[in-house]
Amino acid sequence: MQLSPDEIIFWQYGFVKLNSTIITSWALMAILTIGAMLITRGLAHEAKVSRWQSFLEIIVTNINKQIKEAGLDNPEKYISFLGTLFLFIAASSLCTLLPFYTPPTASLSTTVALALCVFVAVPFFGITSRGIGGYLDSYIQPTIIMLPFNIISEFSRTLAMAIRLFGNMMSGGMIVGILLSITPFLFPIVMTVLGLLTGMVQAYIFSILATVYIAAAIRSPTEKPVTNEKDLQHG
Amino acid sequence: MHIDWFTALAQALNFLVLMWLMKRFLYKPILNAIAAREKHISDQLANAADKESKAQKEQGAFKQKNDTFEKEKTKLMNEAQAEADAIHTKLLKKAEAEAEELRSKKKEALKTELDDLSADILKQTKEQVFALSSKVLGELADATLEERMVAVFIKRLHALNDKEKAAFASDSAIITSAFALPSAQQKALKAEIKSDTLKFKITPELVSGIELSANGHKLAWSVSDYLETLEKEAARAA
Repeated sequence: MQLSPDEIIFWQYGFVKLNSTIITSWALMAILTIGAMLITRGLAHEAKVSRWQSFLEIIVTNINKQIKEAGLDNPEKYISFLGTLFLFIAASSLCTLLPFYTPPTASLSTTVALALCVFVAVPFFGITSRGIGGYLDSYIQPTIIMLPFNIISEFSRTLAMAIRLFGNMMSGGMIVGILLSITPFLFPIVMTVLGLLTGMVQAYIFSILATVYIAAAIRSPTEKPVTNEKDLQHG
Repeated sequence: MHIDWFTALAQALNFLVLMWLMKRFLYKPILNAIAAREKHISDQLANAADKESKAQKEQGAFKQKNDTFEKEKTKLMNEAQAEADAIHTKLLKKAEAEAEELRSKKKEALKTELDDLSADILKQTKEQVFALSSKVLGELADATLEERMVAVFIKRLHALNDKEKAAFASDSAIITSAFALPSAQQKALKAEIKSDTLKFKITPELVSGIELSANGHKLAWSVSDYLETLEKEAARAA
């Protein structure tokens, strides 16, 4: 039994290789892109819109809404990053319904790559928003004593994100695999459904955590988390 | 469970590419479409509000105009009515006056006609009566009648007082009669007025009768005299 789709290698030249993870990712990318292209090709700007356009609009506006609720006031700026994180992870999980499919997120390499993207994106957005001094200042908040802990936290949370997603995605596939060998057909189906749920939850958790980290990075320490209060008032 | 760093790198790259693709083909068009639609809707709403306010303004203006028009109409109607009433009254008065005038004229004309007619009738009657009387009296008149007349005349002279008698007792006194008087009667007359110079004159127009005139005084008894009196009476009655 293979633990990671990385181990299924289709082609290799030196350390350059095309394994199942990369190929599946490409396939997912292709599906997402072509789907988006097909649907947004004939976008209606009038009051009457097609079903598929409504579907995409619901997704996009909800992502925007979630980003805003997490504390980022200008969601259009972050939706490319955070929205794509969610869509990629969600699509990976959703496709577990297909036979002979292993989600790319069940590979630690992929989750680490995504976590590293977040690891880079947080200071990137922080610096573009507050300047380098302002961003670095957040490491010595509330006191300078917290500096090492903040740095450790930066690394540990990245690692935690990678491991959490990997663990959840991998275990879903693993459980189905194991159950298939010991129980009849019905039970694995239930577990697959559960796996789908877990996958969607993980997609949500991963992207919302990234959003929160970015929000924390761009918000000045003296500033109150205004949006949360607003949400409470609204909610 | 290990990390294949080449795969990790490739996945990171894949993710960046996917980010770009999604931005290009999903978020941007969708967000643009939403923004465009929202703008379209808000534009339409603004347009509708604008139109509504314009329509309300126009409605107000129209209403005001209508009210003014209505007021003016009522005023004009009242004026026209008043004018018509005035003209009506005036015409009525004029017509009444004209009718009155016509009626009075007609009445007058009728009266004139009646007068004329009655005068005519009277005249004819008078003429007839006179003609008849003249004819009858003319036919009846003779010396005997004359004598009776003179006798009556003498009686009347006798009835006069002295003062009146004296007025006739002058040289210019003259007795006019239709026939020649017999000398006896001439004497009797002379004796009565105590005048010897009394002259006698014969005038057939008297028809029958006798007349004494002197110094502007006149005493007469004749059919002509009676007829004149009758004529005067008839004229007065008409």
